[in-house]
Amino acid sequence: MTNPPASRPGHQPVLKSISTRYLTRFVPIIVVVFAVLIAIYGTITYRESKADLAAKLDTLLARQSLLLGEAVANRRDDRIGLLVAQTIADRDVATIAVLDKNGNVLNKYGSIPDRADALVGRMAINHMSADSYERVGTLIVSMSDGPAIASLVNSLVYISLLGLALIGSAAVAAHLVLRATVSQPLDMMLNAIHIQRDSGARIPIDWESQDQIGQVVAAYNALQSRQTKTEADLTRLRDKAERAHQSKSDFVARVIDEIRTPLNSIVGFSEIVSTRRFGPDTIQRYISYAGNINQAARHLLFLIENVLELTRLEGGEVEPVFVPTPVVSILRRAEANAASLPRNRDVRLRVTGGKSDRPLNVDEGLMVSLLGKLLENALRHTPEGGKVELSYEVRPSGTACFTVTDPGPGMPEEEAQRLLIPFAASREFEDRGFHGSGLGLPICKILAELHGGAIEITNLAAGGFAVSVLLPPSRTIEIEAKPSDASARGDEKPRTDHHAAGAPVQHLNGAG
Amino acid sequence: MKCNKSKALQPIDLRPLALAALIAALFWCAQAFGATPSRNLSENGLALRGYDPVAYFVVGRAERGDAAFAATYEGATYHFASAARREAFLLEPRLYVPSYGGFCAYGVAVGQKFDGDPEVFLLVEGKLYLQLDRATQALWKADLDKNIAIADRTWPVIAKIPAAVLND
Repeated sequence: MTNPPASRPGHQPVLKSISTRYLTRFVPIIVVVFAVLIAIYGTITYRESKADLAAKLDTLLARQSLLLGEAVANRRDDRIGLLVAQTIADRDVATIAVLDKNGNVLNKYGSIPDRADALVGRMAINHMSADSYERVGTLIVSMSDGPAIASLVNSLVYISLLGLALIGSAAVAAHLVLRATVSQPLDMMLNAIHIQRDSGARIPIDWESQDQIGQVVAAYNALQSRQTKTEADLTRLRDKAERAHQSKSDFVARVIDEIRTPLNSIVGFSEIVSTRRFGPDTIQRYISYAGNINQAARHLLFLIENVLELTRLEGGEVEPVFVPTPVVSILRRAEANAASLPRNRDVRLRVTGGKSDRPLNVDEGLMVSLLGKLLENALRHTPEGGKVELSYEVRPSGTACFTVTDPGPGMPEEEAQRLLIPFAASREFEDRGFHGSGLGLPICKILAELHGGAIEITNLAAGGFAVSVLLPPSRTIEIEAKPSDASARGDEKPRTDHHAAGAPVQHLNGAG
Repeated sequence: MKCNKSKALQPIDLRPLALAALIAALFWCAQAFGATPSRNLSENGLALRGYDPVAYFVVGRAERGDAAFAATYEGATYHFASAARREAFLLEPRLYVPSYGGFCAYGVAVGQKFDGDPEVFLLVEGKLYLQLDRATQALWKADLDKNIAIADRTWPVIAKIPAAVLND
């Protein structure tokens, strides 16, 4: 509510108060309007007083000429003098002269004025004789507009002072009223907004009025209370959801843990039995059953580990650490891991590309496990003597692309897309979906998405099946950039990377 | 008289256009209605400055007329205080119109045309005489019969002569 005294032009102070801004516009306008009105009034009054003077001169001339008639005719100088004195008593009369019919001055007060002036009048002095009238002389009177103008100026000054006093009091009143009705609630509101911005506390504004300001304040209060309620609801819901998710994750992890321990003993003991580790045994059928148990238990273990991994990935428990990594290193590690994977006889793995490519800003461990899952699947389904290929290329769009190709049987495109959804693939193709777990590709999809990328599945024209991991161009690192810088940038802006990933993901969806 | 007034207004003519147009209209009216010098009319052809001529005879005092009850007689417009007075006037206008065209009676006696003040009047033998002001009226009353007789003789002589010519 700081209200600097009326602003001086040229200073240009910052006017923060509404009433000051209002008055700095209002007062000059009113003063100008008032000045114009005063000028108009003054002009009209001046004209009127001039016209009044002219009319008065006419009457005066007529009367005095009539009164002077007999005196001039009879040359009664004392009477002429008396009438002249009577006339000049009027302060508006400047000069008077009485002439006889020959133009000789009989009596006068002041000099005889020119005829040209508007406020000078001449009148014949007639006298009636016995049967007619005759002209006996001339009366010349001039008026002065000095007193009239002086009184006009006086009244204008009084009116101006009154008007200025009125404007001043109106300005003060307007300022007070504005402060009471507008500035005060606005300041309270502004204060509340500042407090909310600084500390987040929502303070209701205590202002009661029915005008627009009051309505705005009421609306603001309503908005704030609704906002407070919404925020409380949101917090409650989020807490609830988090609790629910946490308990679900905990439950799953716990169950899996509980299952895994007995499963491990099943696997271990059945393996001991089937491999006849403690010496040869006789009944071949038991041995083969134990082998079956071992195989099933292994599958179950694999399935459970996949579920656990998927749960961890979906729960956001895995935080990727992006580090610039040479492509070759990723390919080598994936190849090395693939060496221990089960495969049919004479199935060969060929790794191509990546030698001269730019390093990628990725989490190496996650990428290797991603490629490992793809390779495992490919190797498992490649018939004897087949060839699995892992290749790396950078597409013209800048998208980095790891592709695993195998010559195994393909599947319809829409079914391939369903492989990306946990347990969504139909049973017919389930075997294709990673050891029957139905979880391998969904895990790969999540891993790719963690890098802002996507998975692309294509049936090759020559027969066979290609799964590509697409990484957005932002994952490739500029050669001239120092690795440390690049890693810092990568860590700082994982979000932008995810945004950039939008294009390949959509591309994938479009292809599907 | 009219001419003198308009002369006084002319020198500083800075009035807005509307006012100028109004004055032009007034002049036109004066030309149209009462350019005759034998009647003392306002610029818009109004006689007795808008006073009711019948009132002098009916109630014996000067009363303002109402523009709503107006009548024109011999180029001069008269205003009346009521419709009944207007009717009475229109029955026999010659009875009510002021003597000497509404000019000052004493002035006419000395051969001059001065504005007759409707407030300063005298009824003599059923005729309405106006005077310039009360001073003149006192002078005129001092020798009433002689002044009326002389004025009656003078009036036909000066009736057609414009006031400005007579007065100068």
